[in-house]
Amino acid sequence: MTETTADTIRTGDVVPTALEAAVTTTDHLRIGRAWLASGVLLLVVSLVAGLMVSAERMDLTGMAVFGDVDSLFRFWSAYRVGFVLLAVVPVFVGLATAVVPLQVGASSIVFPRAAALGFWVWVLGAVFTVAGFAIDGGLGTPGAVSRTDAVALTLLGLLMVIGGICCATVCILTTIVAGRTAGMDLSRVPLFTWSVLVAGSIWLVTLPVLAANAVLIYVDLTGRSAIAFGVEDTIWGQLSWAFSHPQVYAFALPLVGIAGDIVPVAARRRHGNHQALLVLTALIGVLSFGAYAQAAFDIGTPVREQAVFVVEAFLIVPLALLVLVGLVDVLRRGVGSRRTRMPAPLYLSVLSVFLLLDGMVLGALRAVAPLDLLERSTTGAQFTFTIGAALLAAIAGTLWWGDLIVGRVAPQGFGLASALAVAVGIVLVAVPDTISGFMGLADFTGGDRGGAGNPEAGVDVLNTVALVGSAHLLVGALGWLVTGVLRLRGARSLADPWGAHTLEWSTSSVKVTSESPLLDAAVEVGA
Amino acid sequence: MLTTGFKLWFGLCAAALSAAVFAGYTSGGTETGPISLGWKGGVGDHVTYVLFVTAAAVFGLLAVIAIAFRDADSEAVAEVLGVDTPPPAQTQVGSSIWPVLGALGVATLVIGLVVSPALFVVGLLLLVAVSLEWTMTNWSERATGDPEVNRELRERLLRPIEIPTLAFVGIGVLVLAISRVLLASSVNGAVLVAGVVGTCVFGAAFLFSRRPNIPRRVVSTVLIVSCAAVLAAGIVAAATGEREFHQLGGGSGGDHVEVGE
Amino acid sequence: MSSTTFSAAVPNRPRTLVVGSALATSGVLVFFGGLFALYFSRRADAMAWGMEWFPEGAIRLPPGGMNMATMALSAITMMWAVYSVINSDRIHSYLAMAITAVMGVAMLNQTVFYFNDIALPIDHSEATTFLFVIVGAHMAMVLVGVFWLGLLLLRALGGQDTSRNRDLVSAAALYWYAAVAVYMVIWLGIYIAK
Repeated sequence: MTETTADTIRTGDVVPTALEAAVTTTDHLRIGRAWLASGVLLLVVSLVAGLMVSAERMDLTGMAVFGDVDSLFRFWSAYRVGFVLLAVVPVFVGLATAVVPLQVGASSIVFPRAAALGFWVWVLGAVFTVAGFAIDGGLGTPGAVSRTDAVALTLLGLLMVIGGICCATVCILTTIVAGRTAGMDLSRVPLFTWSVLVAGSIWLVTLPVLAANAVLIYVDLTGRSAIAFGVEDTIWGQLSWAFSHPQVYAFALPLVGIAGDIVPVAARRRHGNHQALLVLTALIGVLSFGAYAQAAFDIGTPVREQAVFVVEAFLIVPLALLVLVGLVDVLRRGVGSRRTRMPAPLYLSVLSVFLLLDGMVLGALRAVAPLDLLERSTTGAQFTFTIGAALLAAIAGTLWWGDLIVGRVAPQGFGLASALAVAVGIVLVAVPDTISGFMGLADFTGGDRGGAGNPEAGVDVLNTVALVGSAHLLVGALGWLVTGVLRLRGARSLADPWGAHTLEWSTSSVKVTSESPLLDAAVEVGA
Repeated sequence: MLTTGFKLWFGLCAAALSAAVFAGYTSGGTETGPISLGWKGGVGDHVTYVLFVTAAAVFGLLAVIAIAFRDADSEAVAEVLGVDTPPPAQTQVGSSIWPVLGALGVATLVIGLVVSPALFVVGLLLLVAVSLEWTMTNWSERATGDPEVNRELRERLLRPIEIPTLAFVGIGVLVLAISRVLLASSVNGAVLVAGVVGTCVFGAAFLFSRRPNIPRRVVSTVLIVSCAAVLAAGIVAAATGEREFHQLGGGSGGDHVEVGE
Repeated sequence: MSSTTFSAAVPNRPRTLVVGSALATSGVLVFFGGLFALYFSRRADAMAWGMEWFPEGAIRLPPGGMNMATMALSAITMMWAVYSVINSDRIHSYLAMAITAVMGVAMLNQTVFYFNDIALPIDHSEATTFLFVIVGAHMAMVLVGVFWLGLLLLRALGGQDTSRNRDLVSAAALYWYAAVAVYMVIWLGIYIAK
């Protein structure tokens, strides 16, 4: 069942070089690895931008790093776009491309060539996006000083990034729906696959809206004179909904599945109620639909003060809490029976759900109008908690499924240390930003762009802590990258290092006969 | 029986529709507006309402597909086909150059949108060519049950078109790229560039012919790197523009000499 | 003269292509949903302030109506194609797909003529920017559909549009119906409501 060597070589064929094989592959494991490697590299690039922004925030009056507020804004927006669409989401897509077909018992991802196309379109789009930001383009600036052609390049790169992610998502979702093995009812699929199904569905109904925004901006921008959407200082406002509450939850949603798959195997206990977790994941998914929260198009009551926004913000918190409680319950029941040490991904995945919950609580607080937090640095804190949680889960996922994806063992201790650096970084960035927000520090998304990091606001110490946090994040990401490199040189991995017995670890044909396949899938050789 | 996929997408559809109506009523919609899709009265905040309704429609479509196909379950498919075990959802396919070329087509198209309409057209043509090749590859993979025969069939059909086309395009692109470099260089520089490029081409060809045992990896690497370098130089030169030309001789006749600086 | 018999290819698993097409089409529909949401929002705002949206006489019903009729008819010919393929009626499936594609081209031709005729610059106002973006995106959608049908015809000539491979046509049909549905919203929201 899990034989997935799509790039078969016929007898007498010329053996392709490594470069040719990498470029022309349609094997889902290789494509998944390409997503993961590119995502981690671009994560490092994004976090470098984030670190520079944090350093600049120490004293905005001096502008020692960037020289002017427009360049600062360009890097600030690049950090947010890069963290989400060039790093965390692609890493999830990579994990899903590699793991999901195996979890549902498919011999390969469906439409493998389209899956490869999705990767290549995304990676070239990512290059254009980064280039656009680097050559004085980006997504507009407060002072409207960008080069129009560079802004156009950034927007078109963003469109390619969205297109690539959507193309890959279609392939993954089709595999889940139409590629399952016998007996693998949709309600029986592992939680990671289910969370990807839900998250992918939400991505498919939100990312094209972001594309619509980008197209509208591009067309207006490249006309004779921008009249509305392409006016530079309005561009980020039109796109920023994709990088704040509630849309960020949709990007982070696969973390629920990662934790949901790791915890029961590591604790050797089934979920108390698998079906309930499926429902909870779907509910979180629907509440994370954020395409409507486009403050730039407010007419009358601002959208973020409307009832639907506030209700969504509050409803999602107990759902995440229930997920966390469910996971902790499995852990509690399993700890007593375990004599060996718990694996690193277990801690990380549970921690990621906890951080997601923090982000959701902060999101709910932002929706409370009297607190006036919508335009404050709490926006950045909420972003860091949520996307940071997703990053932590992604690291847990690569440590968990890496043996399967690469076929070699990674130093788990080093990976754990890197992930902990990331976790510390998330807390050190998000907590000070939360406090600063309550103290009135502006976020760049607001009109008072020059006010962020104003030394007179009394947040010097908090900005210093956030800078240390940004450094931790970068160090953690570099550590993750090194872990991946060390894995390539590691020893060959065991077929099932965690004793998981779930479908992706099986090496023979499988027919699912159990209602709860997560721990006890019946393996029937040749079925 | 309602399938799981139907429950998921119908649930998302119902939730999105409820959110649309709720948002409509709480953002200034009239009594009947939010429940009549705006046909009778206002729907409140248009962005919120339209996007939730769109999401509901899309999830509804997916729910209908899910229930109609019984979630495309393996058992349901087997029943449709009248077999015990349905074929795999995806047959094994070999390596393929079309995805990366398709992405390059999109990238060329994008660069063309920013830089020059001519490049946009090149990207479009590349995309059309990749689509045709992709289709014919798919067709050939379904032609017979023997992959080897399918491969031969494809090659017999397409090689007579592919090779001359590729040669024509390849030579054209290289000539265009090198000509841009020559036009952007100074007069003496152009002579130097032409001499160096010509010598390199001749030298490499001579070496390859004399040493047929050179590993294929080396040959392909040299070719790829050289082509990429020429292309990059051509793009940079095109962006830089031609050197200044001064007409000598003037007059109304066709005989004149152009001299660059 | 000798002949060789080859075994038939393993049949495709049904549903897969249609599911993929439904998911991809969903993304396209949402793209238009995003544009319509902003269009209706800005239009409502302009109306509320008593401002002009489209210039007087710029949007005329007959061209939009003709396009709508063309698209509606093309939906029927597309159904005809699907029906023919299911019944392994190759001649009619070629005919139906070709007619559908021709109708798509006709619709594109009419739209280009109309936009040349009204001669409104794209940056005349927010309304014209929206008009060009929405109608232009729909033209791109139809163009992709026509191209897809062309590729299907190519495969059909290779003998693969039969009931064994009905998903090939069903998947394209789903996309085409979505293009018709999007045009219906354009017709109602732009040409009729103005």
